[in-house]
Amino acid sequence: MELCYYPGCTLKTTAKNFELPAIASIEKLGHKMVELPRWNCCGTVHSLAADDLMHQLAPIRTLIRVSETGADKVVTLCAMCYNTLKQANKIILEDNEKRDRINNFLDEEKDYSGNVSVLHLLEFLRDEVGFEEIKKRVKRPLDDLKLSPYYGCLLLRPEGIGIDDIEAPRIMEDLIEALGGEAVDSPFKSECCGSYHTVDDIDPVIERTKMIIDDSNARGADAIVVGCPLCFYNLDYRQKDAKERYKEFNSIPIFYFTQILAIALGLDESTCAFGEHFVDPRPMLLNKNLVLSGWK
Amino acid sequence: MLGSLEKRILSVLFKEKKTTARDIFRKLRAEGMTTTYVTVNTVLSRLYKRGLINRISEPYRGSFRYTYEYKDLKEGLISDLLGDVTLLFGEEGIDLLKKKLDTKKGKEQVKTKEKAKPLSDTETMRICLSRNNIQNSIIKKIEEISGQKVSACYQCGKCSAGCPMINLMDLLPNQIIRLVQLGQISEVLDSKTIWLCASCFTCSARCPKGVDLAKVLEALRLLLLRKSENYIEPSELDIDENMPQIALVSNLRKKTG
Repeated sequence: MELCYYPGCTLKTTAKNFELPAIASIEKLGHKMVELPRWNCCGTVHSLAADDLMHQLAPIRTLIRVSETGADKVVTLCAMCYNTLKQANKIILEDNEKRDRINNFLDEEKDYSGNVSVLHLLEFLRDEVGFEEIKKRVKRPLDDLKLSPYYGCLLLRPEGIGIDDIEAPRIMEDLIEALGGEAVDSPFKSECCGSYHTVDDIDPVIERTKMIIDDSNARGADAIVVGCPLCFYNLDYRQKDAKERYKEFNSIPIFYFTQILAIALGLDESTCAFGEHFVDPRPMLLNKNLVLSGWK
Repeated sequence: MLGSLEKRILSVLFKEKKTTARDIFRKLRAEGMTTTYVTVNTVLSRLYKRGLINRISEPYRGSFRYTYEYKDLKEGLISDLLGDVTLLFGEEGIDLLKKKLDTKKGKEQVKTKEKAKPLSDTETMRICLSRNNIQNSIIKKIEEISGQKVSACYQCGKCSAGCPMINLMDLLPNQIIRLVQLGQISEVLDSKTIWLCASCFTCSARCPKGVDLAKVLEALRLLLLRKSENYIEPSELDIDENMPQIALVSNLRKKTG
Protein backbone atom coordinates (compact mmCIF):
# COMPACT_ATOMS: atom_id res chain seq x y z
CA MET A 1 0.00 0.00 0.00
CA GLU A 2 1.20 3.52 -0.74
CA LEU A 3 1.07 5.80 2.25
CA CYS A 4 0.85 9.56 1.97
CA TYR A 5 3.53 10.79 4.36
CA TYR A 6 3.88 14.26 5.90
CA PRO A 7 7.38 14.63 7.39
CA GLY A 8 7.44 18.15 8.87
CA CYS A 9 10.60 20.23 9.35
CA THR A 10 12.40 18.31 12.06
CA LEU A 11 12.25 14.91 10.38
CA LYS A 12 14.23 16.35 7.49
CA THR A 13 17.04 17.76 9.62
CA THR A 14 17.70 16.83 13.25
CA ALA A 15 15.49 13.73 13.35
CA LYS A 16 16.80 11.77 10.36
CA ASN A 17 17.34 8.93 12.80
CA PHE A 18 13.54 8.86 13.17
CA GLU A 19 12.65 9.09 9.48
CA LEU A 20 15.23 6.82 7.79
CA PRO A 21 14.44 3.67 9.81
CA ALA A 22 10.69 4.37 9.38
CA ILE A 23 10.89 4.49 5.59
CA ALA A 24 13.11 1.42 5.45
CA SER A 25 10.97 -0.60 7.88
CA ILE A 26 7.68 0.22 6.18
CA GLU A 27 9.20 -0.87 2.89
CA LYS A 28 10.37 -4.09 4.50
CA LEU A 29 6.77 -4.63 5.66
CA GLY A 30 5.58 -4.35 2.08
CA HIS A 31 4.27 -0.78 2.02
CA LYS A 32 5.68 2.48 0.78
CA MET A 33 5.81 5.89 2.42
CA VAL A 34 5.40 8.51 -0.29
CA GLU A 35 6.29 11.99 0.81
CA LEU A 36 3.68 14.67 0.13
CA PRO A 37 5.06 16.54 -2.93
CA ARG A 38 4.30 19.96 -1.45
CA TRP A 39 3.98 20.69 2.24
CA ASN A 40 4.47 23.47 4.74
CA CYS A 41 5.04 23.88 8.49
CA CYS A 42 2.26 22.47 10.68
CA GLY A 43 2.59 25.30 13.19
CA THR A 44 4.08 22.91 15.82
CA VAL A 45 1.62 23.87 18.56
CA HIS A 46 -2.13 23.81 18.12
CA SER A 47 -3.52 27.27 18.79
CA LEU A 48 -5.81 26.89 21.80
CA ALA A 49 -7.53 30.26 21.43
CA ALA A 50 -11.13 30.02 20.29
CA ASP A 51 -10.86 33.29 18.37
CA ASP A 52 -7.68 32.39 16.51
CA LEU A 53 -8.29 30.72 13.15
CA MET A 54 -5.19 32.17 11.51
CA HIS A 55 -2.93 29.59 13.10
CA GLN A 56 -5.15 26.74 11.88
CA LEU A 57 -4.45 27.62 8.26
CA ALA A 58 -0.99 26.02 8.03
CA PRO A 59 -2.10 22.53 9.06
CA ILE A 60 -5.31 22.78 7.01
CA ARG A 61 -3.37 23.83 3.93
CA THR A 62 -1.28 20.70 4.34
CA LEU A 63 -4.44 18.58 4.64
CA ILE A 64 -5.73 20.18 1.42
CA ARG A 65 -2.47 19.16 -0.28
CA VAL A 66 -3.08 15.60 0.93
CA SER A 67 -6.60 15.50 -0.50
CA GLU A 68 -5.26 16.90 -3.78
CA THR A 69 -3.12 13.78 -4.16
CA GLY A 70 -6.30 11.71 -3.88
CA ALA A 71 -5.27 10.16 -0.57
CA ASP A 72 -7.80 9.86 2.25
CA LYS A 73 -5.22 9.60 5.00
CA VAL A 74 -1.89 11.06 5.90
CA VAL A 75 0.75 9.50 8.12
CA THR A 76 3.06 11.48 10.38
CA LEU A 77 5.99 10.54 12.56
CA CYS A 78 6.50 13.69 14.60
CA ALA A 79 4.11 13.85 17.55
CA MET A 80 3.75 17.62 17.26
CA CYS A 81 2.80 17.45 13.57
CA TYR A 82 0.38 14.66 14.35
CA ASN A 83 -1.27 16.69 17.08
CA THR A 84 -1.61 19.98 15.19
CA LEU A 85 -2.86 18.32 12.00
CA LYS A 86 -5.38 16.20 13.85
CA GLN A 87 -6.65 19.04 16.04
CA ALA A 88 -7.06 21.34 13.04
CA ASN A 89 -8.93 18.58 11.23
CA LYS A 90 -11.19 18.16 14.26
CA ILE A 91 -12.17 21.84 14.07
CA ILE A 92 -13.13 21.41 10.41
CA LEU A 93 -15.17 18.30 11.23
CA GLU A 94 -16.94 19.63 14.29
CA ASP A 95 -17.39 23.36 13.81
CA ASN A 96 -19.25 24.25 10.62
CA GLU A 97 -19.01 27.99 11.20
CA LYS A 98 -15.24 27.90 11.56
CA ARG A 99 -14.94 25.50 8.62
CA ASP A 100 -16.81 27.94 6.38
CA ARG A 101 -14.76 30.92 7.52
CA ILE A 102 -11.53 29.04 6.86
CA ASN A 103 -12.72 27.88 3.45
CA ASN A 104 -13.80 31.41 2.54
CA PHE A 105 -10.44 32.76 3.57
CA LEU A 106 -8.49 30.11 1.64
CA ASP A 107 -10.28 31.13 -1.55
CA GLU A 108 -7.52 29.93 -3.86
CA GLU A 109 -7.76 26.41 -2.51
CA LYS A 110 -10.44 23.80 -2.99
CA ASP A 111 -12.93 23.72 -0.12
CA TYR A 112 -11.88 21.29 2.56
CA SER A 113 -14.39 19.19 4.46
CA GLY A 114 -12.17 17.24 6.86
CA ASN A 115 -12.13 14.08 4.77
CA VAL A 116 -8.44 13.30 5.35
CA SER A 117 -7.77 11.18 8.41
CA VAL A 118 -4.58 11.95 10.26
CA LEU A 119 -2.66 8.90 11.41
CA HIS A 120 0.47 8.46 13.42
CA LEU A 121 2.78 5.75 12.12
CA LEU A 122 2.25 3.78 15.36
CA GLU A 123 -1.48 3.65 14.56
CA PHE A 124 -0.71 2.46 11.05
CA LEU A 125 1.50 -0.31 12.43
CA ARG A 126 -1.17 -1.38 14.93
CA ASP A 127 -4.32 -1.03 12.83
CA GLU A 128 -3.26 -1.57 9.23
CA VAL A 129 -0.21 -3.80 9.45
CA GLY A 130 -1.07 -5.43 12.78
CA PHE A 131 1.36 -6.36 15.54
CA GLU A 132 0.77 -10.08 14.90
CA GLU A 133 1.95 -9.61 11.33
CA ILE A 134 4.98 -7.62 12.51
CA LYS A 135 5.80 -10.40 14.95
CA LYS A 136 5.95 -12.86 12.05
CA ARG A 137 8.33 -10.60 10.13
CA VAL A 138 10.83 -10.19 12.95
CA LYS A 139 14.27 -11.41 11.85
CA ARG A 140 16.29 -10.33 14.84
CA PRO A 141 14.11 -10.56 17.97
CA LEU A 142 14.96 -8.05 20.67
CA ASP A 143 15.51 -10.86 23.16
CA ASP A 144 16.75 -9.78 26.51
CA LEU A 145 16.19 -6.11 25.70
CA LYS A 146 14.23 -4.19 28.33
CA LEU A 147 12.65 -1.09 26.83
CA SER A 148 10.74 1.58 28.66
CA PRO A 149 8.19 3.35 26.44
CA TYR A 150 7.85 7.10 26.86
CA TYR A 151 4.79 8.62 25.19
CA GLY A 152 4.95 12.22 26.34
CA CYS A 153 1.89 14.43 25.86
CA LEU A 154 0.98 14.96 22.27
CA LEU A 155 0.57 11.34 21.18
CA LEU A 156 -2.04 10.84 23.90
CA ARG A 157 -3.79 14.10 24.66
CA PRO A 158 -6.15 15.89 24.44
CA GLU A 159 -9.05 13.48 24.56
CA GLY A 160 -10.21 12.39 21.11
CA ILE A 161 -6.85 13.20 19.55
CA GLY A 162 -4.55 10.63 21.14
CA ILE A 163 -3.60 7.35 19.52
CA ASP A 164 -4.36 5.20 22.55
CA ASP A 165 -5.94 5.16 26.01
CA ILE A 166 -5.35 8.56 27.54
CA GLU A 167 -4.25 7.29 30.98
CA ALA A 168 -3.03 3.75 30.33
CA PRO A 169 -1.58 3.51 26.81
CA ARG A 170 -0.34 0.13 25.55
CA ILE A 171 0.51 0.70 21.91
CA MET A 172 4.29 1.04 22.34
CA GLU A 173 4.36 -1.80 24.88
CA ASP A 174 2.55 -4.01 22.36
CA LEU A 175 4.99 -3.06 19.62
CA ILE A 176 7.99 -3.76 21.85
CA GLU A 177 6.59 -7.15 22.80
CA ALA A 178 5.80 -7.99 19.17
CA LEU A 179 9.46 -7.29 18.39
CA GLY A 180 10.51 -9.75 21.07
CA GLY A 181 11.59 -7.20 23.68
CA GLU A 182 10.38 -6.70 27.22
CA ALA A 183 8.35 -3.57 27.96
CA VAL A 184 9.21 -1.87 31.23
CA ASP A 185 6.38 0.20 32.65
CA SER A 186 7.04 3.70 33.95
CA PRO A 187 4.79 6.04 35.93
CA PHE A 188 6.19 8.97 33.95
CA LYS A 189 5.51 7.57 30.50
CA SER A 190 2.70 10.00 29.74
CA GLU A 191 4.06 13.01 31.61
CA CYS A 192 5.51 16.09 29.94
CA CYS A 193 9.29 16.15 29.27
CA GLY A 194 9.50 19.92 29.70
CA SER A 195 8.84 20.43 26.01
CA TYR A 196 9.81 23.75 24.43
CA HIS A 197 11.17 25.16 27.70
CA THR A 198 14.37 23.49 26.56
CA VAL A 199 15.04 26.59 24.44
CA ASP A 200 15.02 29.34 27.05
CA ASP A 201 14.63 27.71 30.48
CA ILE A 202 16.50 24.41 30.71
CA ASP A 203 16.20 23.91 34.47
CA PRO A 204 12.76 22.28 34.49
CA VAL A 205 13.81 20.15 31.51
CA ILE A 206 16.97 18.88 33.21
CA GLU A 207 15.01 18.03 36.35
CA ARG A 208 12.33 16.16 34.42
CA THR A 209 14.88 14.34 32.25
CA LYS A 210 16.71 13.23 35.35
CA MET A 211 13.51 12.08 37.04
CA ILE A 212 12.31 10.09 34.03
CA ILE A 213 15.70 8.49 33.37
CA ASP A 214 16.44 7.70 37.03
CA ASP A 215 13.12 5.91 37.17
CA SER A 216 13.76 3.87 34.02
CA ASN A 217 17.22 2.96 35.29
CA ALA A 218 15.79 1.92 38.64
CA ARG A 219 13.34 -0.36 36.85
CA GLY A 220 16.17 -2.03 35.00
CA ALA A 221 15.44 -0.67 31.51
CA ASP A 222 18.21 -0.87 28.91
CA ALA A 223 16.80 2.06 26.94
CA ILE A 224 13.82 4.38 26.58
CA VAL A 225 11.66 4.41 23.44
CA VAL A 226 10.04 7.64 22.20
CA GLY A 227 7.88 8.82 19.33
CA CYS A 228 8.53 12.57 19.36
CA PRO A 229 11.66 14.47 18.26
CA LEU A 230 11.29 16.99 21.09
CA CYS A 231 10.99 14.26 23.73
CA PHE A 232 14.01 12.66 22.07
CA TYR A 233 16.09 15.83 22.31
CA ASN A 234 15.11 16.50 25.91
CA LEU A 235 15.72 12.93 27.02
CA ASP A 236 18.88 12.33 24.97
CA TYR A 237 20.81 15.58 24.61
CA ARG A 238 19.79 17.02 27.98
CA GLN A 239 21.48 14.04 29.66
CA LYS A 240 24.66 16.02 29.14
CA ASP A 241 23.32 18.82 31.36
CA ALA A 242 21.90 16.33 33.85
CA LYS A 243 25.31 14.69 34.15
CA GLU A 244 26.98 18.06 34.70
CA ARG A 245 24.54 18.88 37.48
CA TYR A 246 24.32 15.47 39.14
CA LYS A 247 27.52 13.46 39.49
CA GLU A 248 25.62 10.26 40.31
CA PHE A 249 23.42 10.50 37.19
CA ASN A 250 23.50 7.39 34.99
CA SER A 251 22.85 7.87 31.31
CA ILE A 252 20.65 5.63 29.19
CA PRO A 253 20.24 5.34 25.40
CA ILE A 254 17.09 6.75 23.81
CA PHE A 255 15.50 5.12 20.74
CA TYR A 256 12.83 6.17 18.35
CA PHE A 257 10.32 3.33 18.01
CA THR A 258 11.20 3.20 14.31
CA GLN A 259 14.81 2.32 15.16
CA ILE A 260 13.95 -0.72 17.27
CA LEU A 261 11.52 -1.75 14.54
CA ALA A 262 14.27 -1.54 11.92
CA ILE A 263 16.70 -3.53 14.05
CA ALA A 264 14.14 -6.25 14.75
CA LEU A 265 13.20 -6.48 11.08
CA GLY A 266 16.83 -7.24 10.38
CA LEU A 267 17.72 -3.99 8.64
CA ASP A 268 21.26 -2.73 8.62
CA GLU A 269 22.02 -0.55 11.60
CA SER A 270 23.22 2.23 9.29
CA THR A 271 19.55 2.97 8.48
CA CYS A 272 19.11 3.93 12.13
CA ALA A 273 21.63 6.81 11.96
CA PHE A 274 22.82 6.15 15.51
CA GLY A 275 25.54 8.72 14.98
CA GLU A 276 22.89 11.41 15.62
CA HIS A 277 22.48 10.33 19.23
CA PHE A 278 24.11 11.97 22.21
CA VAL A 279 24.13 8.69 24.14
CA ASP A 280 25.23 6.17 21.53
CA PRO A 281 23.02 3.06 21.82
CA ARG A 282 25.41 0.87 19.83
CA PRO A 283 27.63 -0.35 22.69
CA MET A 284 24.49 -1.53 24.51
CA LEU A 285 23.11 -3.15 21.34
CA LEU A 286 26.43 -4.81 20.69
CA ASN A 287 26.33 -6.19 24.20
CA LYS A 288 22.96 -7.74 23.42
CA ASN A 289 24.20 -9.06 20.05
CA LEU A 290 21.81 -6.82 18.16
CA VAL A 291 24.21 -4.90 15.94
CA LEU A 292 27.22 -5.97 14.00
CA SER A 293 30.54 -5.18 15.57
CA GLY A 294 31.78 -3.39 12.46
CA TRP A 295 30.37 0.06 13.27
CA LYS A 296 33.35 1.36 15.19
CA MET B 1 10.72 56.07 65.04
CA LEU B 2 10.03 53.12 62.73
CA GLY B 3 7.38 50.45 63.30
CA SER B 4 8.28 46.76 63.12
CA LEU B 5 6.84 46.17 59.63
CA GLU B 6 8.48 49.38 58.42
CA LYS B 7 11.81 48.04 59.63
CA ARG B 8 11.29 44.68 57.94
CA ILE B 9 10.36 46.35 54.67
CA LEU B 10 13.34 48.69 54.82
CA SER B 11 15.64 45.74 55.49
CA VAL B 12 14.38 44.03 52.31
CA LEU B 13 14.77 47.26 50.36
CA PHE B 14 18.29 47.70 51.77
CA LYS B 15 19.25 44.29 50.35
CA GLU B 16 17.43 44.66 47.01
CA LYS B 17 18.13 48.39 46.49
CA LYS B 18 15.30 48.72 43.97
CA THR B 19 12.19 46.56 43.79
CA THR B 20 8.39 46.44 43.65
CA ALA B 21 5.82 46.10 46.41
CA ARG B 22 4.92 42.63 45.15
CA ASP B 23 8.49 41.38 45.38
CA ILE B 24 8.92 42.80 48.89
CA PHE B 25 5.68 41.09 49.86
CA ARG B 26 6.93 37.78 48.46
CA LYS B 27 10.28 38.08 50.27
CA LEU B 28 8.55 38.78 53.59
CA ARG B 29 6.21 35.87 53.05
CA ALA B 30 9.16 33.59 52.28
CA GLU B 31 10.76 34.75 55.54
CA GLY B 32 7.68 33.46 57.31
CA MET B 33 5.97 36.78 57.99
CA THR B 34 2.18 36.94 57.96
CA THR B 35 1.30 40.09 56.12
CA THR B 36 -0.75 41.02 53.08
CA TYR B 37 0.21 42.61 49.82
CA VAL B 38 -2.08 45.55 50.53
CA THR B 39 -0.43 46.24 53.89
CA VAL B 40 3.03 46.20 52.32
CA ASN B 41 1.81 48.63 49.69
CA THR B 42 0.35 50.99 52.31
CA VAL B 43 3.48 50.97 54.42
CA LEU B 44 5.62 51.64 51.35
CA SER B 45 3.64 54.72 50.38
CA ARG B 46 3.81 55.93 54.00
CA LEU B 47 7.59 55.54 53.99
CA TYR B 48 7.72 57.39 50.69
CA LYS B 49 5.61 60.25 52.02
CA ARG B 50 7.94 60.56 54.99
CA GLY B 51 10.84 60.90 52.55
CA LEU B 52 12.56 57.73 53.74
CA ILE B 53 12.53 55.94 50.35
CA ASN B 54 12.30 56.89 46.67
CA ARG B 55 9.39 55.99 44.46
CA ILE B 56 9.64 55.76 40.68
CA SER B 57 6.62 55.47 38.44
CA GLU B 58 7.28 53.45 35.30
CA PRO B 59 5.12 52.22 32.41
CA TYR B 60 4.04 48.60 32.87
CA ARG B 61 1.56 46.43 30.96
CA GLY B 62 -0.46 49.21 29.44
CA SER B 63 -0.60 51.36 32.58
CA PHE B 64 2.12 52.11 35.12
CA ARG B 65 3.54 50.74 38.32
CA TYR B 66 5.65 51.95 41.20
CA THR B 67 9.14 50.75 41.92
CA TYR B 68 10.67 51.63 45.24
CA GLU B 69 14.28 52.54 45.74
CA TYR B 70 16.41 52.42 48.85
CA LYS B 71 17.72 55.73 50.17
CA ASP B 72 20.77 55.68 52.36
CA LEU B 73 19.41 56.29 55.86
CA LYS B 74 22.21 54.71 57.90
CA GLU B 75 24.02 57.90 58.78
CA GLY B 76 20.89 59.83 59.75
CA LEU B 77 19.24 57.07 61.76
CA ILE B 78 22.38 56.17 63.69
CA SER B 79 23.23 59.77 64.62
CA ASP B 80 19.61 60.25 65.69
CA LEU B 81 19.86 57.25 67.99
CA LEU B 82 23.25 58.27 69.37
CA GLY B 83 21.98 61.81 69.91
CA ASP B 84 19.12 60.52 72.05
CA VAL B 85 21.41 58.29 74.09
CA THR B 86 23.99 61.00 74.85
CA LEU B 87 21.34 63.61 75.52
CA LEU B 88 19.62 61.45 78.12
CA PHE B 89 22.46 59.53 79.76
CA GLY B 90 25.73 61.22 78.72
CA GLU B 91 28.98 59.19 78.84
CA GLU B 92 27.29 56.40 80.81
CA GLY B 93 24.81 55.87 77.96
CA ILE B 94 27.59 55.48 75.41
CA ASP B 95 29.38 52.86 77.56
CA LEU B 96 26.15 50.91 78.01
CA LEU B 97 25.48 51.03 74.29
CA LYS B 98 28.96 49.71 73.57
CA LYS B 99 28.47 46.77 75.94
CA LYS B 100 25.07 45.99 74.40
CA LEU B 101 26.52 46.07 70.90
CA ASP B 102 29.24 43.56 71.81
CA THR B 103 26.78 41.06 73.31
CA LYS B 104 24.33 41.67 70.48
CA LYS B 105 26.81 40.33 67.92
CA GLY B 106 27.04 37.03 69.79
CA LYS B 107 23.28 36.77 70.21
CA GLU B 108 22.62 37.50 66.57
CA GLN B 109 24.62 34.44 65.60
CA VAL B 110 22.53 32.22 67.86
CA LYS B 111 19.34 33.81 66.56
CA THR B 112 19.98 33.08 62.90
CA LYS B 113 20.06 29.38 63.72
CA GLU B 114 16.43 29.26 64.86
CA LYS B 115 14.86 30.61 61.71
CA ALA B 116 11.09 30.96 61.69
CA LYS B 117 9.41 28.18 59.74
CA PRO B 118 7.99 29.69 56.53
CA LEU B 119 4.23 29.56 56.39
CA SER B 120 2.76 27.42 53.66
CA ASP B 121 1.02 29.09 50.75
CA THR B 122 -2.43 28.17 51.98
CA GLU B 123 -1.73 29.97 55.24
CA THR B 124 -0.57 33.17 53.59
CA MET B 125 -2.62 33.17 50.40
CA ARG B 126 -4.57 36.33 51.10
CA ILE B 127 -6.08 38.58 48.53
CA CYS B 128 -8.15 41.71 48.70
CA LEU B 129 -11.58 41.19 47.17
CA SER B 130 -13.58 43.96 45.66
CA ARG B 131 -16.79 44.14 43.68
CA ASN B 132 -14.89 45.94 40.93
CA ASN B 133 -12.47 43.06 40.55
CA ILE B 134 -15.15 40.38 40.57
CA GLN B 135 -17.08 42.21 37.87
CA ASN B 136 -13.88 42.74 35.89
CA SER B 137 -14.61 42.65 32.16
CA ILE B 138 -11.31 40.83 31.59
CA ILE B 139 -12.93 37.67 32.97
CA LYS B 140 -15.31 37.76 30.01
CA LYS B 141 -12.39 38.32 27.67
CA ILE B 142 -10.59 35.28 29.11
CA GLU B 143 -13.74 33.18 28.67
CA GLU B 144 -14.06 34.40 25.13
CA ILE B 145 -10.48 33.59 24.12
CA SER B 146 -10.42 30.23 25.89
CA GLY B 147 -13.98 29.20 25.12
CA GLN B 148 -14.14 27.97 28.73
CA LYS B 149 -16.50 28.85 31.57
CA VAL B 150 -14.16 29.58 34.47
CA SER B 151 -17.01 29.71 36.98
CA ALA B 152 -17.61 25.99 36.37
CA CYS B 153 -14.55 25.12 38.47
CA TYR B 154 -15.38 23.95 41.99
CA GLN B 155 -11.79 23.75 43.22
CA CYS B 156 -11.30 20.01 43.56
CA GLY B 157 -7.59 20.42 42.82
CA LYS B 158 -7.30 17.53 40.35
CA CYS B 159 -5.51 19.83 37.88
CA SER B 160 -2.82 20.69 40.40
CA ALA B 161 -2.49 17.08 41.55
CA GLY B 162 -1.49 15.91 38.07
CA CYS B 163 0.49 18.90 36.85
CA PRO B 164 4.09 17.88 36.02
CA MET B 165 5.42 21.44 36.51
CA ILE B 166 3.76 22.00 39.88
CA ASN B 167 6.98 22.06 41.93
CA LEU B 168 8.18 25.14 40.06
CA MET B 169 4.95 27.11 40.08
CA ASP B 170 4.31 30.14 42.28
CA LEU B 171 0.55 29.74 41.94
CA LEU B 172 -1.05 26.29 41.63
CA PRO B 173 -3.23 25.71 38.56
CA ASN B 174 -6.39 25.56 40.70
CA GLN B 175 -5.35 28.81 42.40
CA ILE B 176 -5.00 30.42 38.98
CA ILE B 177 -8.55 29.56 38.07
CA ARG B 178 -9.85 30.66 41.49
CA LEU B 179 -8.09 34.01 41.14
CA VAL B 180 -9.55 34.43 37.65
CA GLN B 181 -13.03 33.72 39.05
CA LEU B 182 -12.42 36.48 41.59
CA GLY B 183 -11.06 38.88 38.99
CA GLN B 184 -7.55 39.03 40.50
CA ILE B 185 -6.08 39.31 37.03
CA SER B 186 -2.85 41.18 37.77
CA GLU B 187 -1.96 38.59 40.42
CA VAL B 188 -2.36 35.88 37.78
CA LEU B 189 -0.61 37.72 34.94
CA ASP B 190 2.39 38.36 37.19
CA SER B 191 2.77 34.67 38.00
CA LYS B 192 5.43 32.35 36.67
CA THR B 193 2.81 29.62 36.40
CA ILE B 194 1.21 30.83 33.19
CA TRP B 195 4.57 30.56 31.44
CA LEU B 196 5.58 27.23 32.98
CA CYS B 197 2.48 25.52 31.61
CA ALA B 198 3.57 23.79 28.40
CA SER B 199 0.03 22.71 27.41
CA CYS B 200 0.51 19.01 28.12
CA PHE B 201 -3.28 18.73 28.58
CA THR B 202 -3.09 16.50 31.66
CA CYS B 203 -5.35 18.86 33.64
CA SER B 204 -7.71 19.22 30.69
CA ALA B 205 -8.03 15.45 30.41
CA ARG B 206 -8.76 14.96 34.10
CA CYS B 207 -11.03 17.89 35.05
CA PRO B 208 -14.32 16.44 36.35
CA LYS B 209 -16.11 19.65 35.35
CA GLY B 210 -14.75 19.62 31.83
CA VAL B 211 -12.86 22.89 32.19
CA ASP B 212 -10.00 22.94 29.71
CA LEU B 213 -7.46 24.68 31.92
CA ALA B 214 -4.77 24.53 29.22
CA LYS B 215 -6.99 26.84 27.18
CA VAL B 216 -7.53 29.21 30.11
CA LEU B 217 -3.77 29.47 30.60
CA GLU B 218 -3.29 30.07 26.88
CA ALA B 219 -5.85 32.89 27.10
CA LEU B 220 -3.93 34.44 30.01
CA ARG B 221 -0.67 34.31 28.06
CA LEU B 222 -2.41 35.81 25.06
CA LEU B 223 -3.68 38.74 27.13
CA LEU B 224 -0.03 39.75 27.42
CA LEU B 225 1.33 38.47 24.11
CA ARG B 226 -1.34 40.23 22.08
CA LYS B 227 -0.04 43.49 23.51
CA SER B 228 3.39 42.45 22.21
CA GLU B 229 4.68 41.83 25.70
CA ASN B 230 7.05 39.02 24.82
CA TYR B 231 8.04 36.73 27.65
CA ILE B 232 11.44 36.04 26.08
CA GLU B 233 13.75 38.05 23.87
CA PRO B 234 14.48 35.87 20.81
CA SER B 235 17.81 37.56 20.06
CA GLU B 236 19.10 36.53 23.49
CA LEU B 237 18.44 32.82 23.04
CA ASP B 238 21.37 30.47 23.10
CA ILE B 239 20.61 27.88 20.45
CA ASP B 240 22.20 24.45 20.37
CA GLU B 241 22.54 23.19 16.80
CA ASN B 242 21.14 19.78 17.68
CA MET B 243 17.93 21.32 18.93
CA PRO B 244 14.95 20.28 16.80
CA GLN B 245 13.13 23.05 14.94
CA ILE B 246 9.85 22.11 16.60
CA ALA B 247 11.41 23.20 19.92
CA LEU B 248 12.27 26.64 18.58
CA VAL B 249 9.05 27.25 16.70
CA SER B 250 6.85 26.11 19.57
CA ASN B 251 8.85 28.15 22.06
CA LEU B 252 8.45 31.30 19.99
CA ARG B 253 4.77 30.52 19.33
CA LYS B 254 4.12 30.21 23.06
CA LYS B 255 6.36 32.91 24.50
CA THR B 256 6.31 35.75 21.97
CA GLY B 257 3.43 37.67 20.44
